[in-house]
Amino acid sequence: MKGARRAEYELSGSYAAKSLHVLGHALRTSPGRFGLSIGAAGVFGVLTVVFGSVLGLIVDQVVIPAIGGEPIRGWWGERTQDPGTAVMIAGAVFVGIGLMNAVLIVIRRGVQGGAVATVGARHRTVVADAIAALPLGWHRANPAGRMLSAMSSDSETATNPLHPLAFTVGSFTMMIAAGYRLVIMDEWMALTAMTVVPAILVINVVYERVISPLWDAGQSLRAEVSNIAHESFEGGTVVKALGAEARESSRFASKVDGLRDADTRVGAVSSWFEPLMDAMVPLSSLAIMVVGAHRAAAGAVSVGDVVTAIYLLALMAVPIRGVGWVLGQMPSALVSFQRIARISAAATEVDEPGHVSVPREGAGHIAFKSAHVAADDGDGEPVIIVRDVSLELHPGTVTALVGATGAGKTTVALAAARLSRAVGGEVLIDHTDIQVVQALGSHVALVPQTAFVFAGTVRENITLGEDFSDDDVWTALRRAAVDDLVSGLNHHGTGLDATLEERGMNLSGGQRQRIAIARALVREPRVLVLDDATSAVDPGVEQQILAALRADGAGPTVLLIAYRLASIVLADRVIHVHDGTVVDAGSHRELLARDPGYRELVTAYEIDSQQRRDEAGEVS
Amino acid sequence: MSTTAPGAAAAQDDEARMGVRQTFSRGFAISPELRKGLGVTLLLALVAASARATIPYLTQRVTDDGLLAEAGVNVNLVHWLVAGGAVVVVISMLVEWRVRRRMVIAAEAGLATLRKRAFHNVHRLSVLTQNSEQRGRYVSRVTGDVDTMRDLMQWTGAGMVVAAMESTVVFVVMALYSWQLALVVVGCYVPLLVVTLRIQPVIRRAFSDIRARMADLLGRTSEQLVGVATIRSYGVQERMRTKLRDEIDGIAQRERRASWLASASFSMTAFGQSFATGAALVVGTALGVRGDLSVGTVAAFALLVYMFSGPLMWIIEMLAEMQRAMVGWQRVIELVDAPTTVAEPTTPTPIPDGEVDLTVDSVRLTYDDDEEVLKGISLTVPAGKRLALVGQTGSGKTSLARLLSRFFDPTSGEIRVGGVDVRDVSFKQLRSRLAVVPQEGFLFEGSVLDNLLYARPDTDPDGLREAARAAFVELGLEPWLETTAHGLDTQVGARGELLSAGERQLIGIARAYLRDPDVLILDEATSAVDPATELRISRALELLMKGRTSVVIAHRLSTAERADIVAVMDSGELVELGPHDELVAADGPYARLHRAWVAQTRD
Repeated sequence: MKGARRAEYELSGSYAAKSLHVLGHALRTSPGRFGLSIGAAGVFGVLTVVFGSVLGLIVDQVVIPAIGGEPIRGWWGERTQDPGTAVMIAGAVFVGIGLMNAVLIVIRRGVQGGAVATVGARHRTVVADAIAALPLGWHRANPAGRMLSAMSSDSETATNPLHPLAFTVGSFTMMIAAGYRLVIMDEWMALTAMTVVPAILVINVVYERVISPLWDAGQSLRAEVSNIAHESFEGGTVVKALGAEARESSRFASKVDGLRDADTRVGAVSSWFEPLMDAMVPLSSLAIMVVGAHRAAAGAVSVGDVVTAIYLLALMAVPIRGVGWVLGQMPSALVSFQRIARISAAATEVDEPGHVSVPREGAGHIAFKSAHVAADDGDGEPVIIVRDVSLELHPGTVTALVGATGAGKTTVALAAARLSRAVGGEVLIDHTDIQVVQALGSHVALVPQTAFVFAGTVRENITLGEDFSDDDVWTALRRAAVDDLVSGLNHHGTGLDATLEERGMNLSGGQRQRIAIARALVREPRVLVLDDATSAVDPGVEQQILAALRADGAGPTVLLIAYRLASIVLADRVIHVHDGTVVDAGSHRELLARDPGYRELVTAYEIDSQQRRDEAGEVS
Repeated sequence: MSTTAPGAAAAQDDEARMGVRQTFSRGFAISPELRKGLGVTLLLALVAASARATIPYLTQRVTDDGLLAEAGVNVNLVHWLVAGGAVVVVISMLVEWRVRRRMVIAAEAGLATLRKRAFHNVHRLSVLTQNSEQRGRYVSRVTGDVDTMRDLMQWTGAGMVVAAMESTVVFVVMALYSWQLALVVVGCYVPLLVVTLRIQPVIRRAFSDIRARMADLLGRTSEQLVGVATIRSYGVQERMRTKLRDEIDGIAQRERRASWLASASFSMTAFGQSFATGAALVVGTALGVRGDLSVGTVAAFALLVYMFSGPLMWIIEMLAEMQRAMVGWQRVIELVDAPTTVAEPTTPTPIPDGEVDLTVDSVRLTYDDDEEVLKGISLTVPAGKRLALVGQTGSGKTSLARLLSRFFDPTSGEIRVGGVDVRDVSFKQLRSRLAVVPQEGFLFEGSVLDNLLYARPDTDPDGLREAARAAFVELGLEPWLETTAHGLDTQVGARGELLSAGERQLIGIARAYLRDPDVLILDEATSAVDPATELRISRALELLMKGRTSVVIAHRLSTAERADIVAVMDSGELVELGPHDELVAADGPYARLHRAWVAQTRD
């Protein structure tokens, strides 16, 4: 499925090939709807010709004789000779054609709109599906605005050429018929009429060349504007605290001005393109008139033929104009399509890479054997962050990973949860390569520093839609010391049914983290990885949570990244990492005794208190 | 607020939404660029439209006088007519080009202004409003919603006026030929137009609903972007995707419905064309039989009806597009006009110079209609003294701190700085005299120095660099700065994520220090970081708070111990107030809290 999806969005070859791919993709995504709509457009085109002919017939056979007091002719004359009745019949025929036209228009446009909606939804779905399949490094390297604009404006822009698609394709029959009639009528007039096709194509090709880079530049500025808005609103509290509203506004304004200029450049180009395209049919009609006049003077064609040729040219131009609309939207659509394609192509992570089932018994065992762990941004070669790490987490023990910022602690934690990959050496769970373990989520639970809380009930936030009883959920909440809070919640519901706002905005940072811990605990993981997951939790509560994990003896193996000394000393074992490698491992006491770097790192508090006591002593 | 029923919320919204005329007048008032030179533009557009209208006339002349000339085909006349036609076509093309260019320039300038105004107002909304509405929605308003109006502004709007002019001109011609037939034609269109216009509000609601759901989808998406690691770790990728897919499918379903509505509305006019042509033929022939009309006039009407209905159909077609654009426009205008609950005073009172005290006077606070969060708090922090706020999560200490910094206003009661109610102080002065070091060490993408610029926006780069370096030295942070890759030029990444939480806080402290405020509010500025950084933070904070009136939300024993006064909060009430030693001796709630702290730290 993954490979198929990549092919679905992979663009290659010339501009024309890419454009065809975008159209082909749409037709394949919603074949029934596009088919029906194109069919309706085809019939509509035929009716347009019929409409013209019937009008002529009625004037010739009914109106002129009726007014002139002559007998009604043709089909109408066979029915009645009463001018009043004949004209009523003619009127009724018109209304009938009108009704059929109206129905066909409803079908063509209604179904067409549905088809475009389906394609737009397809683009959005691809982006939605990519979120959890993009490597974490990709998310770090790319701002959220990129995904958001792929979801909104790119998905819309990529479907823009599809709006006139059914009409254009459907009316090609009309063009072919008109062209055919022209050719049998007179080759010179046909040739003149045909010149409109290459002329329009040339204009479009030039237009595409000129506007594509401009459009591309505009779109990246659009993403930047979106980014600034995102960042600035996210940091709204800080902006307010610093009274930096004006500064933020001017920062945003300068990007908006850039976008304005870029969009103006795009608009300036399309403002000559559209009128030029509009002028093509009148200009070629004029050419036909000249050629027609000469041919008529030479006696090669009749005057009626010339009039018909002008009419036919107008019909031929309908689909060409449609093609112009499709092509006119194509450059921007291609850029957007490619932006979605790049996201789709970078979404390389497989939901379930494993196939080996590991029994879920007791606490888990984790081992790193000379592992080189890399971060992958999805766009290039993975970058190795930690080198040659060997460590072991024994079942049921608590291990603290200690090190300065940037030492590689998080990378190790992610590797233990298979969220970053060992490019050398091995990471094992219960002596099995972690890469091949099936349903790893049921063995290892990771709680990252930034808690993931979404708009929804507490229950949904804890279970993530999986089947846990309310009792289980309450137990987990209790173990994460957040049950009191949840019992007290009253927001569109109470208790587990209370609603949390987007990103848990109605909770404090510590509360969000505890919700995230409860989510891990309800799954009764065999290995629990806490990546600085208690940083905003009150120290007392943190202690309570960690102590409870160990208390019942049947707890999981815990890998803990923490900074508080009180938490570190709770660990059975401490691993000191520095600059992407393991410096030492042992009990807190052992490391204190033999690892000077470690001593310096963790005893900062005590040194601080000592110094303060000294200072206080000096003063008093 | 209501994330649960977006559709209902959207429908409700819509009832309150302004009409088309209001939207235009308010929209033009917000973006005057849209109106500037509009008269000239429309005049030029009229010229282009009139030029276009001469083409059928030319065709008729070529046919009647050139090809059907009594003395055979008059090639010479055809040449002249065609040459004249070509000139007209080219002129009309050039004029249309200028018109479009003018429109593009005006539209882009107007939209830029609209974006800026909307953005500006978001930051004027209170922290409460900012939080309760999903932030992704604000982003979608200043981006996507504005984009939906581009076509309307650039061409559709003026195009509709021009098309209406074209129809009017043709109608006048029809009336000149035969006023009876002209009335018949219009009579056929009126009922259809009435129905079509009736459908428009339905279509607008449908589009408005779609935009609202789109904003929900973006909100959900940005949530999941935050939670990627969790989602993958628990193997719930499919479930999370399903949530988004449901939203996406919901949007597609509504788009399909809107498309049916729009096409039904469009087909009405297409039907109108046949209907009117038929009616014109019937009535025209009847009139002709009575001798009131010539054959030529009746036949000409067929063409005239076609020319009359063409622009009309285009207008109706564009109405649907316009609905979409109007909804976007209204949403942005609403944001520009959203009332700011925390208002700037009209006649600000200055805070007295020098050290100032901070008074909380019977302050009560209720969020929305929920429970009361602060139940009558009164306390005073004397000038230059330090108050530590202590209490469980949810005790109301964060809310109190936010009131002190005027992120929002109390439901009742007053907060005074140097004896002046903060509501009477200009924002500029309040923010310069009172600094907040917020809970989250949020940094903006850019360098460390870029972030410090927020503290002193008026300083030139060299001056700032110097001041920043001095600040780091004075706060004892120089050794830390030296460990960073490029010192003050170190890039901090989006949201400051290239730095650790502790490092972000250090920069936050330096930022506050550079502001040199008289009053400091520290909101949980000391969450867990690595011990070395922790030490730096507490030292820097000491230096920052020295000599300033400070309120600090304390999570640490040491912070509370070092404060001059400790205020203990519980369930929105102030339960204890006094110096640390006295409270410990009093053996009340604070003493219990203190014992627990001691037990932890002396591990």
